[in-house]
Amino acid sequence: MSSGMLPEGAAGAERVGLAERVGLTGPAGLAAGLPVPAAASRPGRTLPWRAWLLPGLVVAAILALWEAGVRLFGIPHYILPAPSEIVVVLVQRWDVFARHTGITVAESVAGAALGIGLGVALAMAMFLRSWLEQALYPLLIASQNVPVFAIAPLLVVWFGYGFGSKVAMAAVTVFFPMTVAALDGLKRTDPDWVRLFRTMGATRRQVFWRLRLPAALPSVFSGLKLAAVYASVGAVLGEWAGAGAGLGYLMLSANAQLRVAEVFAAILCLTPIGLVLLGIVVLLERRVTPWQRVTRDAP
Amino acid sequence: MVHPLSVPCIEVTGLAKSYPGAADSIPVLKDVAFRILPGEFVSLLGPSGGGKSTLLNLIAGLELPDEGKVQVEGERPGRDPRIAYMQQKDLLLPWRTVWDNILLGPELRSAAERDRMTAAARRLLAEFGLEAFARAWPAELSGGMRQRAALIRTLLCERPVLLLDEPFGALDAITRGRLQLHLAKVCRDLKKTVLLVTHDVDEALLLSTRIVLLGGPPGRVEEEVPVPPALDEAERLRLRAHVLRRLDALTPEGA
Repeated sequence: MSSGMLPEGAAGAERVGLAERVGLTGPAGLAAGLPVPAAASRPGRTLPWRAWLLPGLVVAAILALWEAGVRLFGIPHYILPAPSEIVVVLVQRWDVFARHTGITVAESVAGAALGIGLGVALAMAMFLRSWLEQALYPLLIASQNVPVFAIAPLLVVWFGYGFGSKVAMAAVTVFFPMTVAALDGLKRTDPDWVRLFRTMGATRRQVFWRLRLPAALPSVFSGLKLAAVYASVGAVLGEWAGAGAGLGYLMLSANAQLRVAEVFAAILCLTPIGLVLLGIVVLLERRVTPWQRVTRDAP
Repeated sequence: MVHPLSVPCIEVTGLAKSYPGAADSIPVLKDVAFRILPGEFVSLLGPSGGGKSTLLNLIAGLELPDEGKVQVEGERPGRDPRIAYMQQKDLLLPWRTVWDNILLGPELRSAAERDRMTAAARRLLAEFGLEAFARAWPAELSGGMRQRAALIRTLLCERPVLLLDEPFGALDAITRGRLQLHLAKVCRDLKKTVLLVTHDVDEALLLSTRIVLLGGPPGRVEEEVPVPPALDEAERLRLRAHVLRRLDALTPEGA
């Protein structure tokens, strides 16, 4: 690469953005049944500090402008608190935030696990029994026209005011992208590989476990990444629909009392949940699919 | 009782195959017939689009002919076949190391088979110059190394019949020459019956006991050219000129 013999490839490799580095692809692509770019999910090199420099500068600039603007124009704290105020609230009431963050994390993780488990199981069932796919896949797609938050109140009625309805909400959010990603991965095994296994006398069971499943892993991990990011979104939506604890509950009650700094502090607690879960999935992916990290530079 | 050597290893009679096209079906093979005896090394030469790969697929039992029949050691190809098939693409599994890729065939039979074949696997890796890459991922190998690994995997299937579809297509001349000699030796040692698809007349003359010229499309056997075992240079050049002339005549203009 350093020789400059491959200008196009080299330039392209340098221009890979953060989202591509962790292999995160939008849910729109999944819903449309577009192929999940397995090649893009190659989290090989560790991020150089330079990749973080510019975004960090932008964040610092925004915070400085925000702080200066609030002070300069005397914006009341119940409209827009200064960043420093948010930090102060967060530090002073850290125990409250920690407790509610813990609850939302537990809901997100349990919901993600449930949604991932059900999604992978359904994908495998639909793959192995085509009548099941014919019966359920259109319904699955159609169900995505119902906004997830619209069913949140129902889930509260069915699963109660506490932990259960939030887990269900996170699971419902995660379920669809996970199912589609896993099914897509299972279906896109190169038919030439299947022929190879057949000439080697492989049984159907061997073709599934030793060929289709490992071949589907990159796609499954794309689904897992979406699940990691969206699980906490689902949990908070569930909390908004009715709850006595969690960051979503904290936001609503603080908002109602015009304690806007607390709302911001809750958002600050919420953001890392998805990022940490995403990080865990990326680490897991590196362990489970080590071959995805190797590339050969010279032909 | 029939002498085993007189039973053809591969026998193809009246084979026809066509694929659905835009308007009507496009014939790929028409009335193809030949037989290969045990231990023969037969090269299949012919213009592109002559249905050579289709013919291998039919012999491997991956596709069914429209007409005619294929017999491998007197039986129809099917489950528990006697054939190891190396396709044009190397088809190495990216999630397995080179070592785990080449042992795929024995592994699919049983864990014990896999253990039994490790010594042979190590020997073949050394013979094809890949012993340092046993633990490498396929993505770390060059095109030539990948094809060598695929060839070793094919050999380790322990099948009496090898179908090789341009196994050396993507190689430079030097590597190609070395691998051809390796292949010839290994196949002789292991008493394999081989059907090789190639575009390279020299390769066919070097390796095979017989060359089958396939014309088309639709493909049909135009001529069978026996290659004497110890070929002197003058004979080799004469045969080469003959085969090239026939190939030129068989290749349609603009192909």
